[in-house]
Amino acid sequence: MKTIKFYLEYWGTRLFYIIFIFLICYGSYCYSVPKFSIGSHAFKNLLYHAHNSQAIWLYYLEYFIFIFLILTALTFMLTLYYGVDKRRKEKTHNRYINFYMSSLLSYLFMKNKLPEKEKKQRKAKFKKFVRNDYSKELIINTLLQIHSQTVGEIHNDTELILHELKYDNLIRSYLYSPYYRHKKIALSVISEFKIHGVEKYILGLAKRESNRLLHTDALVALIRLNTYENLLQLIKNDVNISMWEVNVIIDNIEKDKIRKIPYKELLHSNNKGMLLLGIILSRLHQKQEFKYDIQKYIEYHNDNIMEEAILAFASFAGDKSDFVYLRNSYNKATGRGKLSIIRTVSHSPDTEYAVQFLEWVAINEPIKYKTEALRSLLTINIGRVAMLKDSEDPLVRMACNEILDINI
Amino acid sequence: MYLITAILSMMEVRRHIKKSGNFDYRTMLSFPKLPSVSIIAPAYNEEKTIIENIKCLLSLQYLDYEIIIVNDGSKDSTLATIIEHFGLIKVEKAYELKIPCAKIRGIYQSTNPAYHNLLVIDKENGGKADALNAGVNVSLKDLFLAIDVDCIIEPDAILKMVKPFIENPAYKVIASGGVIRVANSCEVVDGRIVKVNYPMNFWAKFQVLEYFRAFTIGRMAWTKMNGLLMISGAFGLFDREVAIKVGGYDKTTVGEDLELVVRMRKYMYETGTKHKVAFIPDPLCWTEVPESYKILSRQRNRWTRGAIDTIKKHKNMFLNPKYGIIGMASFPYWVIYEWLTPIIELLGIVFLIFLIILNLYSLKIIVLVLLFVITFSFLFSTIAIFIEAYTYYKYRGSKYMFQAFLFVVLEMFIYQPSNLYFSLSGNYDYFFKKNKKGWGSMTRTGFTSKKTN
Repeated sequence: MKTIKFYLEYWGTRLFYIIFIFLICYGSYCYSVPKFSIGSHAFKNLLYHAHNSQAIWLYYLEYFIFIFLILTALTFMLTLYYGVDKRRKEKTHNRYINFYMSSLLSYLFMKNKLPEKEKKQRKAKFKKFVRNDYSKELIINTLLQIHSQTVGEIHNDTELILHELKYDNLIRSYLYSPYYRHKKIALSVISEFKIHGVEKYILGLAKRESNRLLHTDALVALIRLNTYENLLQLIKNDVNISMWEVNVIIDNIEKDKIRKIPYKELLHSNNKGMLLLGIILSRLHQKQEFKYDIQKYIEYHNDNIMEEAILAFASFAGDKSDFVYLRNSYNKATGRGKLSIIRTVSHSPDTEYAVQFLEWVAINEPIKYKTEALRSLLTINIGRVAMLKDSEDPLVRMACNEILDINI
Repeated sequence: MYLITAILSMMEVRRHIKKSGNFDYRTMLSFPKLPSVSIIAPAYNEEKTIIENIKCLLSLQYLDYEIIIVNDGSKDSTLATIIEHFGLIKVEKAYELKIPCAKIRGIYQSTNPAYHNLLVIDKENGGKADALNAGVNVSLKDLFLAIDVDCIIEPDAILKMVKPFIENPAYKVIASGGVIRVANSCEVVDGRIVKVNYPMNFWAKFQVLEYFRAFTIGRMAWTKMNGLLMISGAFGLFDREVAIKVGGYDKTTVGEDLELVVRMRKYMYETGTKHKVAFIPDPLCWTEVPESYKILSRQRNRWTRGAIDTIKKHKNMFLNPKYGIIGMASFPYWVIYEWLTPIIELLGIVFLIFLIILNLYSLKIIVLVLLFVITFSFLFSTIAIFIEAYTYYKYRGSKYMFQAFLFVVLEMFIYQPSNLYFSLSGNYDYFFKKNKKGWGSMTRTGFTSKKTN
């Protein structure tokens, strides 16, 4: 029922705007003719004789001057109203938030010490302040805050409170509501409190890539509900994810300390976003077993994937062949990838090989890589750095001076 | 045209608020992959306020960023003040001169680990564009944020500005800008705006409205169409690699901010790369605006000369389909609305006087047309005020509302004619006074900044 009410409000507002604009346009026509009809009723234009001798375009000019003045006055009053309303809402909001926060926190922390009678009294008093959906939203947001920032018994008790309050129907109606704000709240609650049973609908939201507003929220909800299964679903449905979403997903995985992840499926996915996610997660979780799966992406045509593959492979490098492979991949790498290769190869067990590579970078590469190579070379062979200090290339000399400056 | 931009901007602002309204940007600080940023701030004769400004920059919320203050041959003790306060010493920092700039005399860094990300470049005077180029040369980060050193930046400004660079899978974002608001009469404590006040100064009040319109309506609409050409020189984030490829800032123009964005966009079109210039409708930067007629006229004169210069340099983009929406919409818009409109207005006034002298006019038509323009202008400015109140609501109180609406009315009779005069004099100076190239002096009063104990 609530969902139907939301849809009626949503389309009702839009219909109102359309009718408003139509009336303005129709009004301009009515103003310019001596008579006009609405349905079967004819009306006389009382203002027509005041200006009936002028050109038609002047009617429209007069009419729109009149409309602009009215709209300006309306906008002015609306602005005043919004200002007053916003201040009032802020005060009410702060008062309610403070009340809900202090009531919930004191209940949660004192729960075990309170007698049953007092618990019931507190709940009754609390419910008196819950009058409408807005109040319920505030309570939900408060519970979200407490749940996300606590651990242990308090953390679990917030889930019990949410179930006790029986807001499940509200959450579901918000999820199916046409308003983005409602969907956002619903997705936050579902992902934080792990409310199952709506994964299929959320997957549908995640697949709607045209609506990027919901896309990210839906992805996060799916990941937090059931990382392993839902990632497999996202791969299967070839859902595209942006760099931003990769970051958000990883952030949530690390926050929830999730380790059950389909690394293999991610690393063999044709979807660039999923592949990138797999490579970064493999590196962060030190999944050495996927070293050679990641290695083939060092030659990938996408810069982001190539760079992350290099970073991951470099973090797994151990055998001499790994260092040789990284060194040979250097020319194809970009930015962070190159820096990572320089730092990793400098730890190669074959010191002479490392020194030769670092010297080559110091002489041939742009300044950013020169300084990094020389910094690494300094830790292996200070004599070589001293020789480069007298190089004919002024940039090499400048880079040497920087790394030898003890003040930096 | 203005009506279309008002509608498009309202849609885009609403979309942005829905998307990012309750988002806690600080969660980005734990993201595994964020671009690094250099904040480059040219400084010339800023000894009075430079320390507070740098402290404000040092407290921004971001992980991998550095601050590069470029002392552009100041004649006062700007450099000595910074050295003394932050314990700087001259260091051997390596850099490559990828963009030509005036001689760099030295680079300074602090021995105090608390200021490890502060770099100061001391160079010979070369102007703002030259100073920015020097900063870009020394920077080794992915992006650079070009700012005016005396602007007050919101703590989460970098986080918000960086977001478009990593959120668009289909486009390469090459630059992003944010809303600049008027800081005059605002309460500033420890380099932060703590209370927003409507300016007390007569001329600053007009500029608040103008900034509302320009940023909230103008730029948001162009962002929606991916046709944004202008990122403010006081506050803009750029892809460093692309900026270097196009040769950095042009020292020969006073509109170096506009000219760089046009050149970057041109380059992306010519290389066939799908790209975007993003704009964040959040108020991220607060700046002091001119409070006297004289300083205001110099500023607007310079803006006009800068716009004409850019239009002339890139005239081959005009109505050229090779440059997509920029060539077919944004650039013609700039030519007509930013350059030619004052000239057309002047011609219109002259023609009207001519008709009156020859008695070939209808008073009724003249009055109706004037009223149409005036009432539309009222409506447009009122919508801008409404959008601000509906979205960010920085200016509060009915006293401000009534003042703002009073100035909406006064603007038509005082500020608009003044702006027309400034633009016309800018045109005249550009075409007939070839030796007038510089910025002129821009005296600032500075913020009244309180310090906490």
